[in-house]
Amino acid sequence: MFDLSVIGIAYGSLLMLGLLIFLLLTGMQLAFVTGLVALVFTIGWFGVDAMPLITSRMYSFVNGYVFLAVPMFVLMAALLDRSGIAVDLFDAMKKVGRKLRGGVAVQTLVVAVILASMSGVIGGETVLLGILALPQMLRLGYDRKLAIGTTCAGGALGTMMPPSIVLIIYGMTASVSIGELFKAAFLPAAILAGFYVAYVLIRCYLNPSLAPLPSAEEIAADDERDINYLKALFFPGLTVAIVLGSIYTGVASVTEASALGVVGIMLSALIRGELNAEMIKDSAKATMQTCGMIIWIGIGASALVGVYNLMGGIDFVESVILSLSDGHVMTTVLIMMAILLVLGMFLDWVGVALLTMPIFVPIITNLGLDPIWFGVVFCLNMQVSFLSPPFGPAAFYLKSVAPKDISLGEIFSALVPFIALQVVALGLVIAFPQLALWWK
Amino acid sequence: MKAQERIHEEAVREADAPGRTWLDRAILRVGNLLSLLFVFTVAISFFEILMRYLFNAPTIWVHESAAFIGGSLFIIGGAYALANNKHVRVVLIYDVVSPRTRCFLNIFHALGGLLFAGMLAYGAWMMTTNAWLTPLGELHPESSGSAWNPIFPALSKALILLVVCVMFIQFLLHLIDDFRQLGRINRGEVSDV
Amino acid sequence: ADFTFKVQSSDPSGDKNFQIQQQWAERVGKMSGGRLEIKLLPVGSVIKHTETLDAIKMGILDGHVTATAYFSGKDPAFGLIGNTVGAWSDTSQLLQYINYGGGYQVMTDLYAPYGVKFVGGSTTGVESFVSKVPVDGVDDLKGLKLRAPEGLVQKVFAAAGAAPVNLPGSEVFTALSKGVIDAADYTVFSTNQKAGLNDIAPHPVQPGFHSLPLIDVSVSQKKWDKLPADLQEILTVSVRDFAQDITTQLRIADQQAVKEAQSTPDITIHNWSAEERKKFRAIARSQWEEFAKGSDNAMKVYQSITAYLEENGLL
Ligand code: NA
Ligand code: NA
Repeated sequence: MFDLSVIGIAYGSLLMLGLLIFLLLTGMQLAFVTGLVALVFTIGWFGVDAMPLITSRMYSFVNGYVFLAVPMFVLMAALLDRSGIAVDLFDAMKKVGRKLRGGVAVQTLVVAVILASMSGVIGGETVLLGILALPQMLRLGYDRKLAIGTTCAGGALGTMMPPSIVLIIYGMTASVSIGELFKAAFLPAAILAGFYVAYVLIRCYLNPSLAPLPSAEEIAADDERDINYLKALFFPGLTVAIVLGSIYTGVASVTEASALGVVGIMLSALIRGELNAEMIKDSAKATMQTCGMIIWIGIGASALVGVYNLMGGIDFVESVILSLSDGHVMTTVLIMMAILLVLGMFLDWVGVALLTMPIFVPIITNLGLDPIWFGVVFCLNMQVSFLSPPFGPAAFYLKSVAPKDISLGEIFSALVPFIALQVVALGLVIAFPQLALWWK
Repeated sequence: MKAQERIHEEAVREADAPGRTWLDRAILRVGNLLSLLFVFTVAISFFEILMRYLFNAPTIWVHESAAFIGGSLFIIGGAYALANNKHVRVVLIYDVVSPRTRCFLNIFHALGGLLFAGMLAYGAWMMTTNAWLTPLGELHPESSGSAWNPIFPALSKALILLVVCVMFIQFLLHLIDDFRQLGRINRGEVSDV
Repeated sequence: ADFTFKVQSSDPSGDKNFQIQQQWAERVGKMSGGRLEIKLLPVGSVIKHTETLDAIKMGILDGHVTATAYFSGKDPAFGLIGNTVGAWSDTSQLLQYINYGGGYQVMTDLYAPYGVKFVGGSTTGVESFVSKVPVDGVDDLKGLKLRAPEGLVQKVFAAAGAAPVNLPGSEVFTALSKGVIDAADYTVFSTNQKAGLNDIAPHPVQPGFHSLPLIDVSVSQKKWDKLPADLQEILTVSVRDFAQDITTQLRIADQQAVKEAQSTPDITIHNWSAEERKKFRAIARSQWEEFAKGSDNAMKVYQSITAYLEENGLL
């Protein structure tokens, strides 16, 4: 049998990256691409006897207790989606700032933030906003790109605002407290959302034609509708209080808190008279599907990490980063950010986290930087990855519910200013770590 | 239309209808049933919290059971998403090529998948043997080593072996189906636009 | 190097323990004149910490520096020798048992079927007991809500009348500060002090009485057999020195942290009397016996350890 290891770790890394990108571009499933490359390198580098390395990592990956938070959050989103809770919330918000230029876009962002405080996964929210908010803005004659960008970027906030799956996975790989990560992410998430709102308002102020106001009849029609504000705000408020409350008070672990969130939403749906067996079955099915997809991406990435580490990848990447940055702290951080941004274009965030964090976090702590702060920075960086082409999950999610005449290309081009805002927020938190660590 | 059902219509390109082979359809049926176990883990986690705070009597079995059930469903979820064709892809090129080229790509993917599942099955076999037999060859399923000490590790490893074997057959059936599709395109039964 | 060993540690690379292990690895390189290289990998980098024994057996890794108790699920004997809860009040007691009191042969026999060569035993430090309320003896453990990892530790505390709660390590801080638990089995004093645990739970018991893990350094038998005799000896002696090095360094860190804690008026350090320690050991012993019934190997471990303890007047 041929021995691949003779090419050395530097060429090995290049070959691995090349093979990954090639297979990805053929349209092969992401989970199988990383898994296959991991297996090929295991055999090539270490021989067939090392094969259990991959299956052993698979076993270790799926059996982590904290990972149970993933299906719980997905289940929450699925139930939320099938109940009328989010629709009521959006309707109740309608009266807020209707007469303001860009009011509906701002309203969309406010609802996005509230939804983001309940759920921790990407997808459900983007889809919900795509159904609830996008058609309204388009009907009012909002600038298409502004409307699309707001919906997409707002929906992606779900994993920036605590609770967040991204922070949970980071906390697991970096072994830092997830509760503290949540505390640290709160202000940066609010800043990012604030940027979006400010951007919408400024652009609409400069160019009023971007966001026409609703007609007098429409306002009158809305006024006539009787909205139960208490009901509309109570249930989302209850769920936010249960999930975040139990995590921050330490009453429950993150996994348990997410289970409480599911119970909270079920209870809300029950009180609202919406809960039925069909809804639960559908939600469970959706959870199975989404988890199979997310977790297998993680399995593939975890397998790749294992074999790459055994090949000597940790030392190699570390030495490359340190020699490029010449030991300069800020340069090191910026190189890492660049690597994350590029990987985020092609890979799913789970893969990026598992690939890079085992290497980056020790470097960060050795440089004397705070791993909690770095977690927030990583999370912000992954916000960019949701929107950046060619692999931009938020854009995919929106495309799945957007009117047929909106192409993926249009969505991606609408996202450019929002990506710029994310990069600015990222820069701010890198330059001023106290934005994440003020409570310490 | 429910939003969740529409997720990924574009991102996850449906090369063919989900559940294209008999095995895929069987997996979907079993998976749908098993997915209710997610709700069950919610229930037992809730039970644990109640026991801990209302009765001051934490259980020893909830954490491990929940992690085991979750882990098992994650593994099965891989086959489920494959049966449903819901694993994410980068569709940059895949989407714009002709059906004939896409068919070739699908054949390539199925071959890659076969290699993937085949190698995994070999690794899983060795891992499972080590988990069920002592080095001296006696039957001793590996347990968690906790106070409760269930044999979940041994079960979990065996389940991985089972699922990757099923996925191997899934890929094999997909490959056969892809060749059939290619034949139809070549014979002009399906338009190649 | 003529020989390269890929050895996975059970500690993360930022950890002090890992750095001390790294120094050991570098010393082996120097002492062998560069002929033997130890490549130390952080926990989980190649394989999960509970899987390293299988990984060495299958030739994926060449060795590990790990807590033996992680293999409890393979054989309860590993759990019993890996952390004989309550047995040791001092690192030297454990090291004496492992290296001179019969432990070396027991470990060698336990690992042999896996194709793994036990090179030597080490440990960290006796874990200090973190508590919000004063705990001065076995009686104070009654009804105490405490976090303990699964396995023997939990059983022994339950037998002593406490109410053990199973929480992941990352949740200990919040759980203590919110009063979800009264006490915790966590780690050594210096680390607890640094993490601020003693500030929120100001009644630590130090030196601790309950937990002292066996850290074993082991390599693949196949690769061991290929080493010339001088390198085998260098490796063995280096591990004996490593055990001295790590326990001493951690003790120094603990002593400094204790001094720091003593100067903090809010923190009261409790030290159990020899009688209380013996009382706890007696309770623990009943659980070891229970545990030993799990396998023939575990029974051998039980007999070996109790014989040693009795001989040395510790039981
Ligand atoms: Na969130
Ligand atoms: Na992207």
